[in-house]
Amino acid sequence: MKHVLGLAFLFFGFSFSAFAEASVEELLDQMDRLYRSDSSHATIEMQIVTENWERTTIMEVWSRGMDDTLIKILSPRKDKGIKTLKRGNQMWNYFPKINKVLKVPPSMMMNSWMGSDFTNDDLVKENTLADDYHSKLEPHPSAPEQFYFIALTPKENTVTVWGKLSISIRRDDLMPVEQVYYDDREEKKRVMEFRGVKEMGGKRIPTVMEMGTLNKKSKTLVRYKSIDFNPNFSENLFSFNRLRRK
Amino acid sequence: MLILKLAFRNLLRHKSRSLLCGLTIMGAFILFSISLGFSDGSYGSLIRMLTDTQSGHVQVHRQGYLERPSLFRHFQLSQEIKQQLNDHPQVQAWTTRIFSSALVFGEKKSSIARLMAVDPDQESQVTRIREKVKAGKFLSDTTDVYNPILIGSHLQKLIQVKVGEEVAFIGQGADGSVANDLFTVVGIVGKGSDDAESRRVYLPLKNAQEFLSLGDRIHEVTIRLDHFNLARKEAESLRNILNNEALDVQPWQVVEEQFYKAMMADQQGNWISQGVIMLIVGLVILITVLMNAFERRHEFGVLLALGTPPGFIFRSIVLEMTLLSGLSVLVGSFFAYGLNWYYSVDGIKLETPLEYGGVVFNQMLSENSMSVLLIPAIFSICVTFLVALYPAIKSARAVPIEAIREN
Repeated sequence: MKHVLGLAFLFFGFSFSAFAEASVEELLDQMDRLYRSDSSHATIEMQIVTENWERTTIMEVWSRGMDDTLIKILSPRKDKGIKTLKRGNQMWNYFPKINKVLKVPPSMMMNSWMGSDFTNDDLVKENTLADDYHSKLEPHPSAPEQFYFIALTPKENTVTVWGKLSISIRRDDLMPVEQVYYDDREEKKRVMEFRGVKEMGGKRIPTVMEMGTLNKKSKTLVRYKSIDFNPNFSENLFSFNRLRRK
Repeated sequence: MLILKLAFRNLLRHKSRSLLCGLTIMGAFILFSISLGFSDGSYGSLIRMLTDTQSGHVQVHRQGYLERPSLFRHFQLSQEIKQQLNDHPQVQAWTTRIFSSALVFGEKKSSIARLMAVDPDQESQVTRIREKVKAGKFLSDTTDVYNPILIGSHLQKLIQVKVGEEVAFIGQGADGSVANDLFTVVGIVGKGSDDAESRRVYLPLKNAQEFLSLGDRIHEVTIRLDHFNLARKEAESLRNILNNEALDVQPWQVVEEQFYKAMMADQQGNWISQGVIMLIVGLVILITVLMNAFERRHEFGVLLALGTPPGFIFRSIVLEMTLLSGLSVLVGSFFAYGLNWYYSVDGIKLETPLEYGGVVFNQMLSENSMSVLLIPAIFSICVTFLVALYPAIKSARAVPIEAIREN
């Protein structure tokens, strides 16, 4: 679910039509609906900064609905050709150098994806926020006149490690500004900030996202280089058999 | 001087009795010496086995690595440090290493493996890794092989690969990337599942640096000294010479702390069994001395009746026994030295190899050192002196007429 506002931004564009005063249902519905673009094709740059190292990766990302995503690393040269395929709630990684496809087991879903602050779980979640969370519109703690503030708590049957999420959305253009992940004790664990709102692929989107893991002192910056909404691509682009092809 | 002459004369007067007594003390001394020799030898051979196969005598890491080993706790070995190591008189050889772990894929099976990257030429001078290759070739003996590796025999059985076959590695790179590459098995190391090397994969340092995106950085410098006993002193000396707060220089006792603590605890326990041997040795000497003194009660009675002062008799008995013990120890030292030397060269082979703290040893060796002769020698002479006091006092205080009647 998290990826709806997390990595979903990587794969789907969105645009809000600003409206005067919105209910929480309307806000979530608007967001969920907008993320569900039929398909997208984007080139993004991912910069990971940790205490020990820093790395920048350029990736090509294809998506179809909420179910299918294919990510292919373009650079650095050492990682070129590594692919991640997500189909439904299953995920595989392909390593061309050793010609191996590895399925990501459920036990590794909370592990980091490609060393970033995003987890594998962020990528495979396919439900909407409304499906997985109870939502409540609250006054924004610091600037209620500027932002909507949605507090989300998981439903009883939702499988998640997060005890609570909060999303801040700008009132004027309904662009998300910040999403905070809390644990069961309501301690902040991760913070995702949205910046660089501009028009790309015919829509206004935050083109920079920064995910910070607080206890690891690391952050991952995702920058859109280009995005194309509803492009034409082969029907079997997301097939398992095509994963090994260049 | 007179008393010394008399003591010698007394010993020679009853040659068979003195010989029997002397042989008993000598036997006890040799038993104690060999027991100590095997005890010290077993620990010595364990330490050698550990330091020769994996730890070396002194290691250098980045601060914190020993407490929490991590791929990211690496350091660069500067020319200055290399020169300082080369110039140190006690450093016989040194080598550099990298450690990590990876998923290793054979054709059909896969497993997690501990990777140990070594400089093939330097590593052979520090540890006996080259001797551990039981099939195929050592890393530096191969040419034109893409990413050569040595695979531990246990791991080799697990993932079912043979020499010459390719395996795939997937791990974490030091730059956060997914390290993945193909490697060629050029040799198999280790004998079974118990030894540490049987579960490892050895690869050349340069290949590991590229695979793990480490550049020219390493995790460890392993140093070989002239003897493992020098480790603590030379670690301190190297710490002062390198004078680098970012680096942690530690002897094998700290590097292999668990092993060392277990060994020390075991050694403490071993003194209980040595105590039992000491008790047996003490009892044997006590019986011998008592037998000797009480057999001569008649003689002492006559001496007392003739007016010999009791103090003279007391001193004479104590001196005779101590002298006999000293002579027995002296002669016994040659035998004890010979036996300890023999077993230190060609120990007792164990049918089933024993595993101790990850180190497997298959023969018990003795240690031929001064301590294995000196401790039993001092003990035997002191015990003889002490146990001679009782019969000496008893004989000196004897009533002459009663002592003469006892025969």
